[in-house]
Amino acid sequence: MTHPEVASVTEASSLLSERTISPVELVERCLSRISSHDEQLQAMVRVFDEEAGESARRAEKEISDGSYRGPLHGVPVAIKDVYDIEGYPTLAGSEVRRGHLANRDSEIVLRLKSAGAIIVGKTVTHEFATGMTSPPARNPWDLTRNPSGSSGGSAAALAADFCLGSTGTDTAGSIRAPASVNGVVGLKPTFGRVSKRGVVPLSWSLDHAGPFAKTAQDAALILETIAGYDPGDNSSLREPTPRYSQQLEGDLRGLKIGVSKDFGLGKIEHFVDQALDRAIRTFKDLGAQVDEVDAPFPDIALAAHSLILASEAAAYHRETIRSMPSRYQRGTRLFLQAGSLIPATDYLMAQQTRHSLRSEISKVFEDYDCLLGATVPTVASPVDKSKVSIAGEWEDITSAYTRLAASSNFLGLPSISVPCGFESSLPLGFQLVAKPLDEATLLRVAHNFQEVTDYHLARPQLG
Amino acid sequence: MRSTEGAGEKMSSEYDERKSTFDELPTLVRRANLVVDENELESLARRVSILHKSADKLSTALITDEDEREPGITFDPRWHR
Repeated sequence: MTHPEVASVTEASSLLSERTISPVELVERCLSRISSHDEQLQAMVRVFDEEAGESARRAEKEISDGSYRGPLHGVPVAIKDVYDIEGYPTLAGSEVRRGHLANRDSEIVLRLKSAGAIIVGKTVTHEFATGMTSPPARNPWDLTRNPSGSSGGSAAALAADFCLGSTGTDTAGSIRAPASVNGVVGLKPTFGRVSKRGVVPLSWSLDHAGPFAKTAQDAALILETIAGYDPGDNSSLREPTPRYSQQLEGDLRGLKIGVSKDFGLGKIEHFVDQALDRAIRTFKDLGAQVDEVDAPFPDIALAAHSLILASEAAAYHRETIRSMPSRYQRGTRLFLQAGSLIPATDYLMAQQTRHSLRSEISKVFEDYDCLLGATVPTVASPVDKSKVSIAGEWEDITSAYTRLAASSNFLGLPSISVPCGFESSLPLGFQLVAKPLDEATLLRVAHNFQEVTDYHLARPQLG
Repeated sequence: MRSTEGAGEKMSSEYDERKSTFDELPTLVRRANLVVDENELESLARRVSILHKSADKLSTALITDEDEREPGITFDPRWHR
């Protein structure tokens, strides 16, 4: 192949637009990677060999004919298996969905296809996105470890170069946690910024759809393609979509970053703390003002989040959890049954808490452009463990992977995870959080960081 | 080494709470028309107990704040602009 090193959307689009490389070559390369490594990685639930090949040939002809559509034209992407793709089942990792067939594309898939992106396959999700380990998928940096979840398949597939971008959903960290432990960028946009039409819900007031990418620049290109008002999603915002990729270059002088390494929500490992210190030094060198801030998210945010999540999930599954409970995996079944027993008064109290915390967090963003802390408190955990030790204390994996991320879901704030180091050859990430609709600041800060660091360039070695 | 002072009392209280949840669970399950395997009742009780604790935390916080505002059911993330 002419350009074996093409690893990002930005590089690929440049080569594709000048016809130095063909979409057919790019797609064949990704399909070949999947064929060689997915038996180990188990990140894919379906691979579109024929369809992707056909789309690539069509894209090649369009580009040759001078009908180049833009930076995603001819770029291979993978889609989490909670997004509908017309003509294929959306199984959401569950036997409950056996026999499903999508009769139209989800809005994001539609927008990606319109931009000329080529879908190479669907990726593994934790059942109905309810958990944080995504079995049977593995972590490409260490196959004895999980890729986190629930969008673990999408993050692992991207890290393993099965595609150049992928999609996830994030209800309590399910884009950002997998991004952190797989060494890629994961962006959870503002609630309502990206349509969820055609995406299997977990908890409709906490769910967000967003991209995984190798770089912040790639994430900007994907976000500006998939964001924007959709009348088919009643939570969609009528807001113009900025050209994020055109707003990356400004430097960080004058920018104020508030640091709360653990967001006031529990311990983090010492090596995560050290990686954050290095990131802070980098941001200071780049001209940003970096200050320690008091814990921005009270722990009642997590309590309220858990009540809303379990109640809304139970409501969505109210019929099938009663008619076919045995088709659910044990953990999902128990989660939904417990959610079915929450009194309405508790759910309303949780929503009331959300209402009051919104105004509190807004004060933080009067003083700071964004907040910086850990995405997850440690590295990827072994597949056969349900608990991890963090700073000497044992913690349930789901709690460890979600507790630093879920407040952004609760408050609808945009947030991004960016690779920032390694511990024992396993990736670490930091998380940035901004005020609603300010994805541009997150992407600019992350891009500046990646301009002077090389953590995002490291690749896992698969056998 | 972490102090274990009060740990026994805390464990006993957690046990009592779980037992109470476990005892009332069959009634709640029946009222909600759920089908729960007998072997999974204890695990379900543990999860329900955790959710009860979350609700208790909120209840305390909201009472402290004397917050009588309307519940924020309609969530509009444009609040900050």
